Formats: sequence, C-alpha cells, structure tokens
Amino acid sequence: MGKNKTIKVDVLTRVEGEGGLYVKVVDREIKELRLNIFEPPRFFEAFLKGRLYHEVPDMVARICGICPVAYQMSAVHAIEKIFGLKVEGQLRELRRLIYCAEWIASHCLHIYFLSAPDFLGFESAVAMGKKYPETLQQALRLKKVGNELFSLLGGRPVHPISVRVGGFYKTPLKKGLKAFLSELENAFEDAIESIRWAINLDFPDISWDIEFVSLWNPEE
Amino acid sequence: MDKPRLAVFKFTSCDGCQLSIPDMERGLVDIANTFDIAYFLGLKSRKSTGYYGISLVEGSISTPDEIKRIRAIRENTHYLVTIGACATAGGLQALRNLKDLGAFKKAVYPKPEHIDALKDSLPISHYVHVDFELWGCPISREGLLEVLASFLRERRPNIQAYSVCFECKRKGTPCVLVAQGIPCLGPITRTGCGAICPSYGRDCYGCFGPSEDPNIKSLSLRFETLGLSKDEIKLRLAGINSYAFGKYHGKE
Repeated sequence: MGKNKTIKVDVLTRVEGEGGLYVKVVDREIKELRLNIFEPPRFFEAFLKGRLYHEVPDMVARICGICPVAYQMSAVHAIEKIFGLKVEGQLRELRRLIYCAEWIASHCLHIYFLSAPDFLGFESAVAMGKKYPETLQQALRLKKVGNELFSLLGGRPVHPISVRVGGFYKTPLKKGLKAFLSELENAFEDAIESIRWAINLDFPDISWDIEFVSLWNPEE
Repeated sequence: MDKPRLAVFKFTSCDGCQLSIPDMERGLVDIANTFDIAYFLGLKSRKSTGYYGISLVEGSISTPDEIKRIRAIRENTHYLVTIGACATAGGLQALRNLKDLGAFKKAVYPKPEHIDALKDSLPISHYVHVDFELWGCPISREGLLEVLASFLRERRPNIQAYSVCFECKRKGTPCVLVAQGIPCLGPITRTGCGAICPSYGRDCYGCFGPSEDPNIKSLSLRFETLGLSKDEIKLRLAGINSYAFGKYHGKE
C-alpha cells in the first residue's frame, strides 16, 4: 500500500443490512474513517405502542429475517416478566432448542456465505464451491440441518409462528424430535469439521485495546 | 444460450425473503447454474451492472433515495418481481402511514432531524410497473422457485390467490374460527404458506396479504359475534399487510 490512499466502498457486500465505508490514509496513517449505515428506519419501537401483548412476538420477528427468534425470545421474556410468569422445564428447553436452531442456520450463513469468501478470495460462496466443493457441501448440509430443526419447532424456516407468551402454540411431538436426532448427530461431525476449517483461515494480525464482554447462563 | 441475468435488490426490509435463496440449500447451486447472478449484495461481492433479465426486489420504498434507486432498476430490468410483504404491500413498517411520522421519529431517535424518511412506506408498485408480485412474510421457497421456473419457460407463475381456508380444508385442519372462536384472518388471506398457523391451533395473522376478492366486511361481522370491538377488528387488519388490507377496508 502506498503512503496515501483513499478507499471508498459505496455499498458493502455480504453483510447483513446496508452500509458504506470511507477510509482516507495519509502517510500510512488513517486520517478519516467513516462507516455510513443507510439501512432505512422502520420505527418498530413506535408502532408497537398500543398493540396487544400477544401480537408482539409475531411483529418483532420481522426486525430481522436472519435472527427472528432472538427478538421473539426477548419480547416473550419481557412480557412474561410483566405478568410475573416464569416459563420453565421442557418449554424453556424447547425455547433454547429453537434458539440453537437459529444459531446453527445463522452462524452457518455468516461464516460460510458472508465471511469465508473474503478470507479465501472469492466473490461468493458458490464461486468458492467451484474450487472447494466439499466445503460448500458441508455448509449446505449444516444450513439444512439448522433450517429443518428451526422448521420442526417454528413451523417454517423464517419468522416462526409457534412462539407465544407463556410457551408455544404447539410443541413438536416426541417422535418427530427423536426422528431428527440422527440428523443432528451427523451434523455434529460437520460442526466440528467447520471449526477445524475456520481456525485455519488466515486471520489478519490485528489486536485492539478493547474489553470484550460476553454473557452466559450457568444453568444452560 | 447465455444464462439469463438475475439481480436481487434490497430496500426497506428484514433480509428474510432474499435470504430464502441460500436457505434453499442445494437449490442455491441450481439457481447459480441456471442464472448468471449478476447483482446480489447479500451473497456476492462483485457487482455487475447493465440490463437484467429478471430482478427480484425485496423491501418497501420508505426514503427519497429509494425512489431514485427503484426507478433506475426498473429501467434496467426486463421482468421485475417483488418478493415479500414489504415490496408488495409496504410491509409492517407501513403501520407508520396511519400515524404521524414526526412523532414516530421523536419516539425512536434522539436526533430525529438526521432521519431521512418518507411519510409513507409504500409498495414498489406505487412507483414503478411490477411484472409479478410474490406475497408472503416471508415468501415461500416453493413460490420463489415457481417464479424463477416460469420466467425461464416464459409462462405465468402458477401461484394461487384463493384464501388460506382452502388449504386448511385440504390438509384436514379443524377450523380454529368455527371450532374455537379464534379470530382467524384465514378467510381473507392469500394461500401460499401451507396454512401453518391454524395447524398450530392458532389464528392466521395475514402475512401473505389479502386473497382475491376478500370479504372483509363479512369477516368483521363474524369477529363482532366473537366479542371483538370495532377497534380490535381494525387492529387485526393493521398488521404485516396493513396497507393492502386497508385498501379494501377503506372501500367499505
């Protein structure tokens, strides 16, 4: 890279949402750095006012088509807190399971479809699959398992319809879940293999003086 | 023969409809083999401009800049398809059309003067000609595949516009409205989802938009017999497809 450089990306690609990037480098130093987020506002906080409590989980799902369960879970927990209601036992476990299904699908999307092509120098995951067909197959298999588990609990792979305040509209049958177990066991191999593959990607050597915080639940 | 050029565009939306393309798993590979995916910011970094055979448009028009963008896309597209409730009917965010935008901006943003938004969130068809509208929040994969397949065969998509009720009857799902007195929007909602909600013992909430000739007045009267107030009935219709249902409702 020369001493002076300007990088201007009108629209960032393979990210969730919409944004642009502007970087101005003078004498090998970043003088100007602007991230422009132009994802239009949708005013969820405003139009949710005055709605019935049982409409909220269906509405907030639409904040994001990749992680609708995250919003649904936050909403049902908030509303249940107002009612002094605690959802526990199998219902809580099923909620965790649909959340995990979303994680499988969305992490798979993020790692393989959005990020990996940048690490390996391809324009898309499909292009990456021409050189590394087994990697793409692995991504598609994992995505499929995430989507199927999601549908099994939520009724469909995006914007699930089963989540409600107090639990679920309908819980899956035991035999349906049992039948899916072998699929998950196969996917476990793919998941381990994915981690092996991902840690070997060439990460740029950057460190920040930032404290990262993550939350965990000791019970789960 | 050259592969037809396909483009995917996003406006005001949640990404859920366009991402049903990678959700198709192996179908994604088939689409990539059949079409030249020329423009798809969500999945591909190389942006290829020019004239597109088919453009799939997700999202509603809600900012001044989006009006300019959709007009340019229309000029460069042979066959323009809207995918989902936002692009087809303004989406959930069209609820703001019924309220005061200024108050909405103030309620959400500490510096509302920086928010560039149109008063209304409107469907793509309000601004440009649309060749086919695929309803749903989210769209179904089968629906999208049918649109793509019909485009290749140069025929009309075989997608039905009758109500969810037909699908429930076909599946043998007991009617939640008749049997349980639940205010279900199935009788006035377009089929295409597979009538999932009633099969979960709950109400359809209209995410596939109005069916053809929806009898909203009759269903409203039925809801009144269930004990719903006029305001509650209004609220039922003011959901994901408020702009589309409101058009019919307003006529009565």
